[in-house]
Parts: sequence; C-alpha cells; structure tokens
Amino acid sequence: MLSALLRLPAVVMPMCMAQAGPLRVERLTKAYAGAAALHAVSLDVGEGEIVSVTGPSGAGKSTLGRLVSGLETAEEGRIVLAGQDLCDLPARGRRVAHMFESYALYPTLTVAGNIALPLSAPTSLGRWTAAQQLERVDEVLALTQMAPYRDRLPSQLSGGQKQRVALCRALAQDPSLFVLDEPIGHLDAKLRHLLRGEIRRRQKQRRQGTLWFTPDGIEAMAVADRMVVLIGGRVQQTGSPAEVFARPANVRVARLIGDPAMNVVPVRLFGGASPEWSLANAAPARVSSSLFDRLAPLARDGVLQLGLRPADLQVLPPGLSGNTDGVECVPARVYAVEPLGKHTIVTLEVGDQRLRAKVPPGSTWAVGAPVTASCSAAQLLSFDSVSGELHRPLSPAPAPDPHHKEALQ
Amino acid sequence: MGLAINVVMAEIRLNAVTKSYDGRTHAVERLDLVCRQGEMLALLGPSGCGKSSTLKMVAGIESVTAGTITFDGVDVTRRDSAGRNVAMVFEDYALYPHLSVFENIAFPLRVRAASSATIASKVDQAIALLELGAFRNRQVRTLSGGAQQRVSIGRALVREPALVMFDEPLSHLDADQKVLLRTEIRRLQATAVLTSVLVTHDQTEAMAMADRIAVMDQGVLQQVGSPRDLYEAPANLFVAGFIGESPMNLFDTMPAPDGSIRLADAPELRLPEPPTGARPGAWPAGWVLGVRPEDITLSPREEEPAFALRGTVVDCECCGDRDVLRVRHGDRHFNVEQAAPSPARVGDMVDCHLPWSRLHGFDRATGRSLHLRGAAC
Repeated sequence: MLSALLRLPAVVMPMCMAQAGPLRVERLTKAYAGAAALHAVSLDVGEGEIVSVTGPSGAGKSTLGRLVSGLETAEEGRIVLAGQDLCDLPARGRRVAHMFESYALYPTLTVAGNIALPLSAPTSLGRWTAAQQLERVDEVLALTQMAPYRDRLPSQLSGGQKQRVALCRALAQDPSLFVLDEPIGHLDAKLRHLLRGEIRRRQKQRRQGTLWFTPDGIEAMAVADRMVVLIGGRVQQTGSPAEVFARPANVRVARLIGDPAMNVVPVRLFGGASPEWSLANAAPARVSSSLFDRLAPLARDGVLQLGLRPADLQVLPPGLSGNTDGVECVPARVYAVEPLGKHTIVTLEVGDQRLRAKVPPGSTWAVGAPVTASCSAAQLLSFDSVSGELHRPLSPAPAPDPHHKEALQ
Repeated sequence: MGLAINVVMAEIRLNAVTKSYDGRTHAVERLDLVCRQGEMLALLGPSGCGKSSTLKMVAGIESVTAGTITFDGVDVTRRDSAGRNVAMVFEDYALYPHLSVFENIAFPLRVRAASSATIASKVDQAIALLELGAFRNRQVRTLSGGAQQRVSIGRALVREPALVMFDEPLSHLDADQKVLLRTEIRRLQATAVLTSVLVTHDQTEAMAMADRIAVMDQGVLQQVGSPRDLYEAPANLFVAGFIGESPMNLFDTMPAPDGSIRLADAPELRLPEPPTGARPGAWPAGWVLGVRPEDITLSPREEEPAFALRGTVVDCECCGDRDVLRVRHGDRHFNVEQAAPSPARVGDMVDCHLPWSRLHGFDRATGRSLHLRGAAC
C-alpha cells in the first residue's frame, strides 16, 4: 500500500507539475512528555502566501513544522496540501522543502553540493539538467550573499553561514510548500534585516506557499502576509500583521508583539464624583470620566488590564494631571533611557511595574527623574483581568450589573 | 536603587595599539581609544573588524603587538589578566549550571577565601541590585537566559573589578529577553557608574546600552562618539551604512553640464540649490548623497526646502508602529519609513520628499563626510 503510494505520484503527477496549492492544517494535536505539544492547531496558507508562525521558545513551532513535513506524526487532525491529505504520506512523498533550525548539512559536501543535493535526489530525477541545477544553486547563493563560499565545506563556515546554506538548500527546490524553521535567526542583525526583505520578495514571486517560523515578533510581522501567534501549543491569534499589532487577541500576544512589545498593566478603578484609577498598584490618581465610563463595565471587581503601546506613550514634565481632551496622565519615574537613533526608549516606573515609551530622539530625561506618563485614551486597549482576552471594541456599554457596582465602591 | 557594592573603576586608555597575528596583516591597527571612568564604551563592527582582538588585549588574554594600554595611567600592557582586575561577562554566561544563584555569584569571593560574612553581604547586595532575590537559592540552569546573564553580571561585580567587559552579552537571548536585559544593563551602567567595555556586532544593542560607541572596520577605528553623534553625523560611509535600521539610503550624484547636481539613478531630476551654505562647486565632483528612510516624507512639509523623487511602492514591511516601504525609481530601490499605518499601498506612485536639512553627503573617493548637514542647516 505504502509502496504503491510512493510510486504513484511519479507516474500520475510528473514532477514538472509539482502541485503548488493551499495548505490546510486542521485541529492538529500532538502530545509529548516534553513541553512542545500542540493542541488542536489549525491554520492555512494560500498559494504564494507567506504565513509566519511566531511564539516564544517551547511554543511548539518546530513541532508544527515537523508535522507538516512528515518528520513526526500527529495524534489527531489533518494536513491537506493542494487537495491531498498528507497524513498518510511519508516525508519524502510530501514535496515539502523543510529548512531545519539545526541546519543538517552534509559535512563532506561543499556548500554548492549541499544545496544541489535535493535537486539530484531520486524524487527530482530528470527534472533539471546539470546546468539548470547550477543555475538554481547560483540564484540562491547570490540571494543570501553566499556566492564567495560556494566551494567551502561546512566545517569552514561560521554558524550564520551554515544557516544560510541550509536556507539555500530549501529555497533552491521547487516543492509544493516551503517550511522555514527560524531561517535567519543566527545571522547578525544587519544581514537579518536585509535578508528578510530579499527572501520575502523572492517567495512572493513563487506559486508555493511559505510557512516561516520565528520567535522574533518583528520578523514575523515584517515577512508575512498573515501571521499566526502560537503560545503553549495553542493558536492565540491569526491575522494580518497590522491586525495583530492593532488588536492583539489577549495579553499573551500583546506582550510578544511590537518593538518593544506592548505594555500591559493591571488597573483598579475607583468610582465616585471624581473617578480615580490605580495603575500597577500606584497611589490612586484622577482618570477622566469618559475613560472611566468606558472601562468600568469591563472590569471584574473593579480590576482589568490595560494595554499601552510604547509609541503611544508620551513622557512629559512632572506634575501634569490634566485628564482632559481624551488624554490621560499619571505620575512616573524614569528608570532607564536608551537612545536608538531614530527614537529613544524611555523605561518608566509606574507603581510596581515598568512601562516602555518610544519617544522622539534627543530626549534627555535623567534616570530617576519624576515625570508624567501620558497617553491618548483612544489608543488604550483593555483586557479581561482574569482571562486576559481583549475586550471587544465599541461594544455598547451594558448597564453595570450589581456585582460591578459593589466592586467599584 | 544605588550601587551598594563598593567599586572603584579605572579609566582605560589604548595608545596606538596594534595587533598582528601573522606579522603581516593587522587585526587592529594603531588604535587610540579612551574608556572614561564610569562610562560604557561599545566596540561595534562586523565580524573581523578587530573588536574581539581589542577586547582580548584590554582584558590581558591576548598580547599587544605594539602600543600600550594603561589603567588609570598605569601601564598594564605586560600584565596578565589577573594583574589587571578585569571582570568578564560572556555571551554564554559561563555559569555553573548545578550551583545556586548565590553560589555562582559567590564563586570569585570563595576563590579568594573571603570570610563567609563578607561573602553573604556582598553577594546579597549584588542579588538585590540585579533583582535576583526571588531566585537566590535556585539552580541557575532552571532560570531564563536573561536571569542567567544577570547572575553572570553579579558574579563580575562582586569581584570589585577595575573594568567590566561585556562580550556580546545579549546574543544568546530570545528577542523579548534581549530587550529586558538591554534596559537592565543600561540602568546598571547609569546608576552604578561602572567603567565597562561592550563588544557587539549589533548596532541597536550598542546604541541602547553604551555612553559612547567606537565603530571599527578591518582593524581601523572609524568613529567614536555618542549614539546620537553617530546617528546624526556619521563620519564616513561605513558608519553611515552600519548605524541605523533600515540602513541609510545612498545615492551617487554627478555634476551635469548645466552646473546642477543630478542623482546618477535619476539623471532627469535637477536637484535644486541647497538653501544656504555650501556651494556645489566646492564639493568633490562625485559625491554620495545619504538620507535615512525615516527622514523621507511622502508629502512636502511646510517651509522645509526639499526635492522629490517619484517612484513606485513595490513592497511594504510591517514593523508594528512603523511601515517600511520599498520604492522603485527606474532601476533603483530605496526605503521609506513611515508611521503605521502608511496610506501608501503596493503599486502606488509616490513623491518621496528629501528635505535638505536631513541629508548627508560623503566624498565618494574617501568616504568621508562632507558635513552637508552642518552647511545646509
């Protein structure tokens, strides 16, 4: 049965008609003794689409990639590529070009030899002439600035160069899907920044989809048409980079995405004639009635979590408290100042937490100085204090139930 | 949070320091550099620039081929590492994984046979300073990379060194941990007044943590200055290209027969006269015009002398609060960075305004800055 399946594609689908088509992963579940398990993971990748999967280490990113490539088997769920159910196909029948995070280079082959190997493998037999293979190898070597190293052995390369060879070997193929597991993570910052654009634009010209795994939230946004945030083996959110950035589904996503990531702070609300709030257990301070009225119905026992993006936070001189015109102010203290050239990151202490503000260059706040942290109320996001889920926008404020009234004192 | 550990840090000077491994080529060439007392000086450059050789020479791990190194005026060139009292923080932490946080930090003190009262007091001060209190008795292998690196900083500080050297301290950390520890080191530097040298290839890390940055390339110092100096006034093309992300856009210029300046990639565009200052005639015939992606605007700003380069948006990178557009003019591509969400879409024709006040100029032959911005402002 298996051998029949293996032989069948070569006859029915000549390799020159390698099926590029959408990938659909449905409720994929994999349990491990270890941590990198997956729980009912679903995602899809359209033709020519780049979908990034991001999450902290241990989130299950590599496991997901290995399941798609057939290097591991799932306990439940389906993987369908170009209309074909992959779960019964062995890895080599899937036509997935998988780039390993561990490189997996052949030590006795040169750089060019490593990259050309899949092109002359039995599954590709007769697809490319020797000249065409060379052409493909040269194209990816040029793309990754590795042309000067084409005749070296892996042992003569740095870690970043080895990673680029592994990347080249995947990109040179003409598979049904590209799976890139942290393809540029070990390159230096300069090259990483350059290559992510080059690779993205190349992959956009392909018929095949690309699954791009990275722990770097900025890279995940920069390369992708759509991104999937995977934490603890569960998909937290799927959407365009702009959507995920604008409206992270929960505090776990919020804390992962952005440069630097969104600040998330607990807030306690105190009702009354002049409403107050306490950010991160700081002394209660005035809050505008309009913001209070927006947040109060969402709070549990008077508590919720606020999301403030660093670029939306302003650092102003101390003593300002004008919570008017939709601008909220709270007292803060400067913890650290990092001048990055085009902007400066000021870390502020508010209550028992540290918030990051991304401010114009040239700010010269002294460490320890008292300041005012200010943010437009319209830019604030709020999350449930227990579940951490994002509160939906513009939900008509329901009449506060008695439970809330008590909680808000 | 003040520094409770008593550290007397030195001022470090390198005088015409040269390093050659083979007697012919120079890994470091006549390097003059000062690391002032209480400052963090970053050595920044690509691999092979000589920063690691410099670190090893300052630490006393590698011999100096020519030149001298002084600590507080005392020549230490021939002293070994122990004789210089330099503490190192390594990229891979180099901790004892099975020992507790406390014991790892205490290690240098135990080696010196300090009394247990001294050890307890100094180690607990370091633990408080680095906010490791919650992990005091945990095995370090159970900690995150960021916490492990803080332990290794604590171990460096309890030695009361003359100098702390940070060798790529963030390179093994996850992105989120990098940002956190970057801030912690910056804060520590500002409050504890350490004299320290940071070696990194990552310009963001150097900018974020260091008081001053020495940019090196092929063994030669290119520029030394504050992060702001390097960003606003790069001394040459190498620094201009190395500092900044996305990198500065560079355009070759050429003089036209009518005396005007043209961009080689857009010869049809006649650059207007700069508003004041430098005459084009005084500039070298071929000079390179530089403009940072975030200094280009898609609509003219009031009262800002500028000229516009028309192009097609061919790609857009979402970076959260910023969008980086890739724009094509003829065969030339350049980057424009905008606050997100940018109204421009892929395929749009846009006018990219280059304001004179934000332009840089470099001599193409020597690479040196023409100080165009000084002249035009």
